[in-house]
Amino acid sequence: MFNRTLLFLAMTAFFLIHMKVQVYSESLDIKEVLEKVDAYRGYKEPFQMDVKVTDYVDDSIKSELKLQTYVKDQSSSFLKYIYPPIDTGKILLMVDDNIWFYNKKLSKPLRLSPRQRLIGNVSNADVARANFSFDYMPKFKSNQSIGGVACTVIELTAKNQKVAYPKIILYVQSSGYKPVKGEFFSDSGRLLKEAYYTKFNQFSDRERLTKVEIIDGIIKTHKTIIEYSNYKLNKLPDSHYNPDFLPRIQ
Amino acid sequence: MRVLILIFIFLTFTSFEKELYPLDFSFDQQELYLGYRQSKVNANSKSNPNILDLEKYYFDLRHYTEFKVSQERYMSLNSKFKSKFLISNLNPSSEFDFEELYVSLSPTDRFFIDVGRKNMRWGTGYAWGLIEKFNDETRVINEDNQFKNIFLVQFFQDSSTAYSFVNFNSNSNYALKYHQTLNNFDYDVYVFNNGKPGVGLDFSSIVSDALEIHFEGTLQKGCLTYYPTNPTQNIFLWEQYKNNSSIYGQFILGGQYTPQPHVNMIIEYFHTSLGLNSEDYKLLELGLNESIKDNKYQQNSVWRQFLFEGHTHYQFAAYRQNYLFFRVKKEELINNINLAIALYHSLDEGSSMVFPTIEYQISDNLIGRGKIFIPIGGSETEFKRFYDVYGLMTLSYVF
Repeated sequence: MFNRTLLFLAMTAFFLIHMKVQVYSESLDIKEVLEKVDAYRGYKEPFQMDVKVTDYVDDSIKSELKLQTYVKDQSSSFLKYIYPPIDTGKILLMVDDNIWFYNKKLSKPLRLSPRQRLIGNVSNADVARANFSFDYMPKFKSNQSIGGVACTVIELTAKNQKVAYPKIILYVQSSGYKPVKGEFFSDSGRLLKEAYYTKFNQFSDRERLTKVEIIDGIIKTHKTIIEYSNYKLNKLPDSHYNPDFLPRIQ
Repeated sequence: MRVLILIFIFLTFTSFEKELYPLDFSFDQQELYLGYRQSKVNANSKSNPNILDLEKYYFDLRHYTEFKVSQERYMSLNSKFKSKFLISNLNPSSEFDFEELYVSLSPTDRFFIDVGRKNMRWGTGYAWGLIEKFNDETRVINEDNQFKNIFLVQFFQDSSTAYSFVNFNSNSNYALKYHQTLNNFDYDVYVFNNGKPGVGLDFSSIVSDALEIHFEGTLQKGCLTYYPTNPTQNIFLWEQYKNNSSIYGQFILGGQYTPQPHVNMIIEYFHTSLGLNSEDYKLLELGLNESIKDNKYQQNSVWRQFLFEGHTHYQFAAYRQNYLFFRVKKEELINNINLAIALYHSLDEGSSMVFPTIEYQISDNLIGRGKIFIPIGGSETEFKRFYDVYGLMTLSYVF
């Protein structure tokens, strides 16, 4: 009787310890997977890229926007409007969860909420943030096939209430960890938009994401395409990430 | 100013390495139309209809050209040239001016010195600017802002801390600003003297992904606001200051809410002890009536009439003591059309100024805006007294 109890306790202990280790290692792995996904969207060092955002309704172009984007680290980015001419001189600065907007007509930087729209289906945060790891906690959800491609499904939960989407479901290729698809949800659990990561190009060091198609959650004919180009390592002075500096930018 | 213009012209066309530091060139053009109806420009003209020498309609067609040149290296030269042609049935005129003309020196990427005429805005308020002591002439609606010559020194310690010092108008007028960002909160502390010494504070923060809050406040010793002291005299003989030894406070408390990505709302409450309280307002009424009896401003324009009635000395929506501002903007109402409705409301009088604005992007370079100003309230209230319904149309073209 005593031996049986001892054996039961030992098995339970082994099971619990093993389970804990399993959970921990799975959590660690999924974080690594998310970092690998983020690596397709930028560098670990400060870099710059050009971003073109085109808004479509029923397959015809409604509006277009081009931004010169500088990324300092996971939490800081600086975006300068370069097209259309009517918008030149506008600047978006994102540091942590803060977004400041500068417009030469206002002549002073004002805060924006991350949810506010930039163009079409794209919010300020969609373009200003080049990674998921900073804002979200990942959790393994399932394995699933998308268009014949084996994918790992990751549930991303916002680390705080200040990010644009409380929950994202991300589909990542099980080998190579390329992002395939993202589903973005509201507080109430409503699907706001779907993102398809459709094009990757080879740059000097590795493959990087160059095209994302964003489909509205309700009006499926409303589509916005974000294209990334001219990735290169470049560092802006720290002063440029100070909101007080924005009026100094020409 | 002449010296600066000469330096600007000389350096722009001679010494700079133009290939390495190309000229940043932009050209912005605006056409503006204003229309006034004579019928009830203000309540006082009813009691003496001859006081205004107005046509039935007042046309004001303005043409603005803004030409901006800047060149960056360790020193940049910045200018914003503005020409204005006014075609009016009252006073046709033309003006040419440098709205901005300043030299900027930057020995390092953190340290800057600007000298000349420069447009600057400080503070977190959307509808009011309490801390911009160097922009005392700023009108929220009037597009003719006056900018003064300044000497500005700024040091950016890093991405979260900055120090600014500005000297303006005369040697004794200055403002100091300390800026700090802490996580999701940023604040500025000010010390200033624009003839009256004071201190200020502003901050802004985000509470959630949809909600932003901000505050801006000042305390100053003494007051530069015109104040009616002797109702039996002409209003222009009133004392300039309320009380030089008292402490006057002003503050704005506001927030910005984005319920949906296409919809943005801003609300601000503004209190100023520099404005007229109920007692002051009674004195103003008496003063105005005395002045109108003199009937000495009969030949002056509608603008003069506005000034005559007190707005010379009071900023728009800062005339009394308690105001609300509200704006809701819906982007992409229909294809390429944005709609915004804004409201200034005087809590002391219950009067308002509502102005819906429609913005239409005609092409990548051309944008059109139409705005109608609608005063609401009793005939003796601020917005109804000083303004009639009027419209404003602008076409802005950028090369």
